[in-house]
Amino acid sequence: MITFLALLCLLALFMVFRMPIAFAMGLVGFIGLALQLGWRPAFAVLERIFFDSSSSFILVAIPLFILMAELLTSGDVTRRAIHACQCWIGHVKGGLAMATVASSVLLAALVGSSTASTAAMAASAFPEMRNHNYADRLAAAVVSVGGTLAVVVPPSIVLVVYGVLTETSIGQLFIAGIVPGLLTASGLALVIKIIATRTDQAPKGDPFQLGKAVKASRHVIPMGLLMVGVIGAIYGGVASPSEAAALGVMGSLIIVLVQRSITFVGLSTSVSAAIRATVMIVAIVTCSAIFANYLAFTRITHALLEFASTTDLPRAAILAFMVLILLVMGMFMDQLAILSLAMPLAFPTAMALGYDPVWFGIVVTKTVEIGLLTPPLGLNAYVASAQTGVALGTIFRGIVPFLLMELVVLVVLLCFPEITLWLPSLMLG
Amino acid sequence: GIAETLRLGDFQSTSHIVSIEGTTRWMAAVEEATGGAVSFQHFPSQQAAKSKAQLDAVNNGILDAALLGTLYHAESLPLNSVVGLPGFYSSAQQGTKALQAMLKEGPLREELLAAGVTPIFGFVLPPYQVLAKKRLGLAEDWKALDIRTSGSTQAMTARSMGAVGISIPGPEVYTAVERGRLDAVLFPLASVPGYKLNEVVSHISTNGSFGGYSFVMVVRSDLFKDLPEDVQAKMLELGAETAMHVAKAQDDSVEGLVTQWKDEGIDTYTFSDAELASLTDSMKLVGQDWLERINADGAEAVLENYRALTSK
Amino acid sequence: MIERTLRKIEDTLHLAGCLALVAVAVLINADILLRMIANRPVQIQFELTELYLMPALATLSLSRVFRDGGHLALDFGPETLPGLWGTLLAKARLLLPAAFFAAITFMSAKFAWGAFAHHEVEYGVIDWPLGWAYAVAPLGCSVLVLRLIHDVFRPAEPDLTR
Ligand code: NA
Ligand code: NA
Repeated sequence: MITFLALLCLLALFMVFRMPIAFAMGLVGFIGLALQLGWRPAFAVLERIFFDSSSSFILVAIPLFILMAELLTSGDVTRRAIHACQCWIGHVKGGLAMATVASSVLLAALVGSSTASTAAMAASAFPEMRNHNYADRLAAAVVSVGGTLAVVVPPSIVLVVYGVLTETSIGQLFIAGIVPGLLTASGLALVIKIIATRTDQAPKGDPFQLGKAVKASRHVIPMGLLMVGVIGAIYGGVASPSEAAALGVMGSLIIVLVQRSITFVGLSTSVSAAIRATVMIVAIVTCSAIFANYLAFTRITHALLEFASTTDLPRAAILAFMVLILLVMGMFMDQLAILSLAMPLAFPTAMALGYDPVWFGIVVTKTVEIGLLTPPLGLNAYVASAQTGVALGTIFRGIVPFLLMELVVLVVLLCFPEITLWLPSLMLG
Repeated sequence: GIAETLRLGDFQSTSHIVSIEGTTRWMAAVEEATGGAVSFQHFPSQQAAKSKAQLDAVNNGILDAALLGTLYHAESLPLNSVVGLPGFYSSAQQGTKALQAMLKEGPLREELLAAGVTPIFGFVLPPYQVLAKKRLGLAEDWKALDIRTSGSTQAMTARSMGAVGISIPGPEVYTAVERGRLDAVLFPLASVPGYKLNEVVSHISTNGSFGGYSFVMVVRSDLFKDLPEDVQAKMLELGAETAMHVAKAQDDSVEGLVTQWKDEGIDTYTFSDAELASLTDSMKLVGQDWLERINADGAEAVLENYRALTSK
Repeated sequence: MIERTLRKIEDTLHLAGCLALVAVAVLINADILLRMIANRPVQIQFELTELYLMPALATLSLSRVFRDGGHLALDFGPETLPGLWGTLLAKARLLLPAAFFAAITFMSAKFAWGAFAHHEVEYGVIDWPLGWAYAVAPLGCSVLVLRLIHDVFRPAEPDLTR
């Protein structure tokens, strides 16, 4: 335990002195493994760690969705589409940020991965908010938080993994995610509204002119067609969700070529930018896998959860304790690592306490999603920072009010299971 | 003696029947029977190493023991992949008996020992069945269908009947079937509830044999050798008992699942003799292909022995 | 001179990574189109992407991304400290990761070498040689090690990494 705390301090030290996060987590995880298992096994973990973390078909959605957004942005398609939104709702304070939230919901129906969604929004919506004099901290925070909608709104990789690990109905989990997803989106819009009213982070745009708005609307058509095409391909059975990302790239390429709004340089810059973001993400995922591996061998989460499952505290307290552990794990770990580490104990405990498996799945998903927004390992904030160039500290500060909202939504979901279970029960007749 | 705690790696989750009736049950039995001389730290759900890295992890001392999915290690354990072939065992109990016999002595055991690990016990999943939105019978019915398969042997199985073997990651299978991207899926029935495929298909075969899957519990050989002999014997004895137990539990569970699906209105059907003959005939190609790919001494003998053991 | 050579290597690997991404996009689209039109998928697409293209596009540019300041670091700590301690700290910040990535390079290169030596294959649509699949990670990591060590000994100059 003392070794573990010492290593956490070392990790904090490395990070404060600006060692890249990936390097710091890998290094500390490696040292931890060596102390826990011995040097030979620790070295052996390094053998195939990069290969195992990157050799996955499900991951292709990340570079492909980033590439799609880069193409659309460098071909000016997003700017024109968002300009059209601006014409309609720009006269409202914070209107553009709210339009970004709405786009995040649409994108969430397409994408099952938070990082892919955040990267796409950071590449497309952020520059528009910046052009309209939004404060960087607000604009970058909105794309980071909006990205988390991708795993609550179906399809969702996290929900599928939860379903498989716990043998819970994936279909019901997907349906159950819809209302909490919309609730989160409303919460986001509310926070934007408050920030826009109280501060000058989200300025008002030009006054509303119907003619101008109608005229600008035609620029929404290409984006609209692309969305309909890609969502249609998934729901029409033409492509699996990962493959659909490739269709999105093709569609965007066709749009920018037809509009003649892109050059060869623009094309290669887009590919290069997509690679850059992907390499950064995979490096962090790989190195945090080393850290998660160390954490698994310390058996600390195991011990904590075992305490939760054997204690005779009231059931609400046990549930709160488990959610708290998941929140803390979320500070240091990737969502899927948390699920595989925690669910073998947390799920049976929740079931023994008589909670509903679908509801618990949504609560868990929501909880690990919050981890994507908290330092030190807050993948969504990282992706937004890498994509927008806004300093990480600024983004984490911008996220604070939204984080409070996320916690409120979580508590609401915890206290009122009906919100989650209402839609699935309706579907079952 | 000195108490020994073994780190045991597992790629299955603890809620899977293979873990409940197999791995976890065996660990508890060993801990009890040896009076704590051997105990386990269990790392389920790939927590310690990815499924393909479990064997390496045991060799490198990251783990001391592991439940291997042998098909994940086809490059180091080619002969053990014989269990993946279609058209052999028809129940988990039959397949497990055959596997246990082959792990006791012969090329499958030798191959594992050569990889630095000692097999304790092995068992199989019930044979893969076909799940689809229509009834697939004769080999002709399969022509040009998109079928989700995992691994080369199953892809070849699909191809032998004129279908197309499609690789789709496990977590995406549900969505792909639901939306018609896939026409059918080859799947072990015990795992169907885990992926909730019964929500999205209407027809499930119950007496086909579209390939098998074997699990082998292994312990690092140099560690196993140093255990007291009575402890070794207990682990093996309890292993043999667990192997048959988990096989029977799976067969029973499949029976229960089939009844339940029938009640849900799913057409759970058996192939007629004519259909089985047509399928088996087509799938002969797969065994030929396996022999060519493996291209190892004794592969032919392994195949013959396996055929003899599963004809009983 | 060394800086120029290093840059050239980084740029070449980055180009290879970019081409891998383009290949993924083209292959998946070809797969979808062909199976819609001719009911004949591009059989090798899935395995080629998973085994070779994903590891390549995710690891080959490790060093180039570091050079461009693309590996995120927290930015609310002190940028530099004055004096000897500051210098030591700045060096350690590069040397420790260099040692760590050298370990990854060594172990994963040894692993890839073993796969080459034993002619390990993944039995798929074709027999995929695994050595090449494993080899890209040590390639990407080794150049990162060179970059980190090079930056340790580079004389103080305007910070190019941001
Ligand atoms: Na989604
Ligand atoms: Na976090």
